[in-house]
Amino acid sequence: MHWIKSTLILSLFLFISCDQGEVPTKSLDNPLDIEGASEKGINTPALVFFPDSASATIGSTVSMEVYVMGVEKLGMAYIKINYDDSKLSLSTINPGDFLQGSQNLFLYDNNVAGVIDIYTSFLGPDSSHVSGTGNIAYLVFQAKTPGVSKVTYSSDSEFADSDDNPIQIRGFGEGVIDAK
Amino acid sequence: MKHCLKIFAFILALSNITAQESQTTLAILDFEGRGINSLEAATLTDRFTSEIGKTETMILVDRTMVEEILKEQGFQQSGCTTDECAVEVGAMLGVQFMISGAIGKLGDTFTIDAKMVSVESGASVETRNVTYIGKVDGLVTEIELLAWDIMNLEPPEALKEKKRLGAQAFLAAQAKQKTRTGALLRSMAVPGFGQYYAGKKLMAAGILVSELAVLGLYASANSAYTTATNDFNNYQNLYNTEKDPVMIADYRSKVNSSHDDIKSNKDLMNQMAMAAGGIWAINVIHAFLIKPDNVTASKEPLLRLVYDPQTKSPQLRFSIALD
Repeated sequence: MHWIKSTLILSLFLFISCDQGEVPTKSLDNPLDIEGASEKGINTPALVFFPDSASATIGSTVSMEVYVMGVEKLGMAYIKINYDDSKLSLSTINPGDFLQGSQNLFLYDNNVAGVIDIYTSFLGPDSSHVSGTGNIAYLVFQAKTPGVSKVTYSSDSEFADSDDNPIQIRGFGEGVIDAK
Repeated sequence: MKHCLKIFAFILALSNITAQESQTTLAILDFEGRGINSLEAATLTDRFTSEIGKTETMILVDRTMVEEILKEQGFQQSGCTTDECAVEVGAMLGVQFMISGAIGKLGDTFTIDAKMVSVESGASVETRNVTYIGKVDGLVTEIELLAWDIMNLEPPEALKEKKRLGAQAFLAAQAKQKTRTGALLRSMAVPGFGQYYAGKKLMAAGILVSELAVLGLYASANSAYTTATNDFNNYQNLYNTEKDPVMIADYRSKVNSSHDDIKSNKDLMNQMAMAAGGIWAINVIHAFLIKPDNVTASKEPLLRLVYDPQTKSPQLRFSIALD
């Protein structure tokens, strides 16, 4: 009868420790996911940040890319970005590879506190344009004080095709930087 | 209420009369000891009487009643050895049949002679002779078998087994008698093992196969669950870091697909776990409810109908076997 008791105790132990498993939570919130963005009310063409959330320690830097999503025949763009300059400072800004051609323009202005103005376009007689999704600029921020701050696009931003016809921007994403 | 009681009493009285009329009555005289002492002879007669009772073919007169009649007539039980005496005593007891006999010993050989006489006609209706070589305690089994034989009945399997094994081995086997608790504990440890222990081998195999099949399905679902979870984590990471919209859409569908797989396999695992638990519970209950096959188990009924010549009516006797 001793073996029966041992087997019973073992069975009970196995039964109690038996892990039925959990169903993990899926998070389909890639900011460049057109379907996901649409579910959040961000329709294309849109301006989004990638990644749309990041965390940094005070004094360290964090990167965010400026993306144009689902655009058709983009020839030029003016993008205005707002951020909380009490918590963040812009370290560097570099052109992205979406509007890269034989001749192209990339200018930015950060003279107004908490505002970044980016001007970019193709240049020359051949009316070049791009379609789809791509990055316009690389931003690097430095965390100054602790707290959560948003990086947003201004509705003053504009898209136009190579013939300077405006393209309506239908969605604006936003970025969140958590400084600790 | 009173009306009901009257009807009940009437039915009881009617059944009493019917029982008296339909069942044959019988008394047994102590077997005469020849070469064995009177105590051994009386013990063997007791066992013979007890075994006759188990045949449930006739209503037995209580031994004390026989002794009282013999005492009244100036006999010791062992003194009444002739057919005439048996018939006379039987008439006084009001029974239809009497059994008397003798147990003799010659060297290591024992003989048992038993005779059933009709009180009405005085004729012998059944006679049996048994010869046995061995120890005196082996006579117990022989006299038990004789009881069934003289009633022209097939002895129970347990009794045949007792003769085959010998009394000592039989009692040892009885000590190892299978119990419901034993079956229950075995089934709790291993599904179907309690049934196997109880002698229900087909049922045991069925339960074990069912449990293993369900556990197999559980293991299969668990394996699929693990694969789906790994896929999900992998695709979720790729989805989170991908910048190409085409690839993002592809990973998105894969994340959804693997997540659905996780859920379906989790549901299947839950169902299989419940099924396995259910089979286990049924197996345990079943193991407890079934009666283990005990060849040696006593099958004497708790309640027995006996004849009381004093009141000339049947009685219900309650007994518990201590063997």
